[in-house]
Amino acid sequence: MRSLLANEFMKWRRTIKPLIALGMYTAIILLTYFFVRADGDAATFVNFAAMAAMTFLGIFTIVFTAEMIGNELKYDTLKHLLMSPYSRDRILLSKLLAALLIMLAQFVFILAVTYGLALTLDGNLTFEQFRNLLLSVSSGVFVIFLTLMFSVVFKSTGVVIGFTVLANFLSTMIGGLLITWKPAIAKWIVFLHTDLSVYYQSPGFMETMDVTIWFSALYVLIHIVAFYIITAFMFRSKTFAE
Amino acid sequence: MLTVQNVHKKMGKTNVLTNVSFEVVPGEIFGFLGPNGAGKTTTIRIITGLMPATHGTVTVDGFDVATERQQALSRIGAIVENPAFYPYLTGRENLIHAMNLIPGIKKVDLNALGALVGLETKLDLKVKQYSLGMKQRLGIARALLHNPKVLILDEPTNGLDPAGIADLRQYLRHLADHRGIAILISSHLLSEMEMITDRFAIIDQGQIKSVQGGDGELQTESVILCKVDRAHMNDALDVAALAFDDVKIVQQSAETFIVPRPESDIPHLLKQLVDRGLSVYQIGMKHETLEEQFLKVTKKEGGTNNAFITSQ
Repeated sequence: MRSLLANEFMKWRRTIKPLIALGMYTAIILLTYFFVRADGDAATFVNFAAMAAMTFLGIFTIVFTAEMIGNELKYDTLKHLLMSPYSRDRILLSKLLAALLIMLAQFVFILAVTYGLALTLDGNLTFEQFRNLLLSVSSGVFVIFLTLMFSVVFKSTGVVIGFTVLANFLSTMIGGLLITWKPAIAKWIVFLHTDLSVYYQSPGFMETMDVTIWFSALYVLIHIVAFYIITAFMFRSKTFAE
Repeated sequence: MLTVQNVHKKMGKTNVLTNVSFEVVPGEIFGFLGPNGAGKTTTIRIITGLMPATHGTVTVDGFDVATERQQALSRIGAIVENPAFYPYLTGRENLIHAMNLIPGIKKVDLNALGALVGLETKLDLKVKQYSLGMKQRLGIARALLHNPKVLILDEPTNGLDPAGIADLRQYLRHLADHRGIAILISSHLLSEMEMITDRFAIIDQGQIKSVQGGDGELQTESVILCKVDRAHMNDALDVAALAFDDVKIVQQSAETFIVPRPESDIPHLLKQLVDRGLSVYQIGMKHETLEEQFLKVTKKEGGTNNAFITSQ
């Protein structure tokens, strides 16, 4: 498995996109820093900077995950992976783990830059704020499973990215409308549960739906397990021939 | 070494392969010949585990590709359809990637491997800078990384210039003779198959129509070809018919005809023609080419040979 992961990292880091991603995170955090430092404290800066960078992290996570299988189809290299003595299950698992680790590595980078700059500002940093940031990673994990599932269904990376963004956007929008109108229905829209930090940042939002953090965590877990079963089944049975 | 036994593949309602069987022994270069769409690549995809057979078995060194996948596939090196690489990685990185896909592979001297396929100075270039010929050579290097017992090359000369084809031919011969690798080559180019392979199977419409060759040489049929004065062609045909009353004489052109008899019958035919006062301009053996065999086999079986290319 280690050698398969090494392959995924090599393919990821040798493109220009990781550099663009890290550059974007740095730029957006620095921009926030220059705006906030005049009259804001460290906590306000971390809030804004991390929120902005995490939005980009969500987008890049979709792109990087979609390309894990999409690029193999684009370059016709998937057949070499599938001809390997390793089973298809292992190949898929290596891609999933690589996508998760790549997302986490970027998250750590965002935290490091944000907290590094926050140390130069006045004000205290709280554990609660840090906990909220950690909890928000749950939406990244969910999006990886969703994107991976779409990427074994569709050949084009563009379509995979489009579908994932659209699913996210539409469901959140519809969920947002339903939450005030029919909260009992809204609570079954999984996209409203993917970011667990909401329970601490806007508790009223989840109270309307009468759900707890454990419900959300379990509901998201059921979805990602289901997504992965579908993905593994399709990856195992598809011939991926032209 | 490689045994394909009664392999059948059905896609939807179409029988793509019907009872395909052949064997490739160590040190042999086996050709897999057929027009486009005949089932060559489907067979190769089944051998390499990319696609399951509907029924039938494929074994590599005794291991079943379907049930003993790891053991079977770790003995195969292959280029399927075209040599595909990550263009943004270097040749060396692509080889490292391929090494990582083989469990328990021993450390490989990539420089030596690069030198073996003539890419020693190009390994650190990105693959997007490679020509098609270089990619073919890198593909062969990748297929040989783990010292496979079976090498499978699907249309390996596509995009190669004549010098590249000659190099490849020589190299494959070396691999078969000195390393005892069983090599399966598919192609629709008859001329190259004639030059490279020891034996070959003709496949058309998903069925093996014939397996030919053996003992290190292709067994091609031979006939006597005779060229006479065109004004006396009819007389010559009468003489030949009388000389060999049990065979069918075929007029090939206005001044040539062929007699399907062995070389030992040339003196007899020549004597008969000269005794009748006919002028003979040329007489000798004509060996049936692979192309003629192919056309004969596929026509006889009602196959399609219009998609067939004789050479490039």
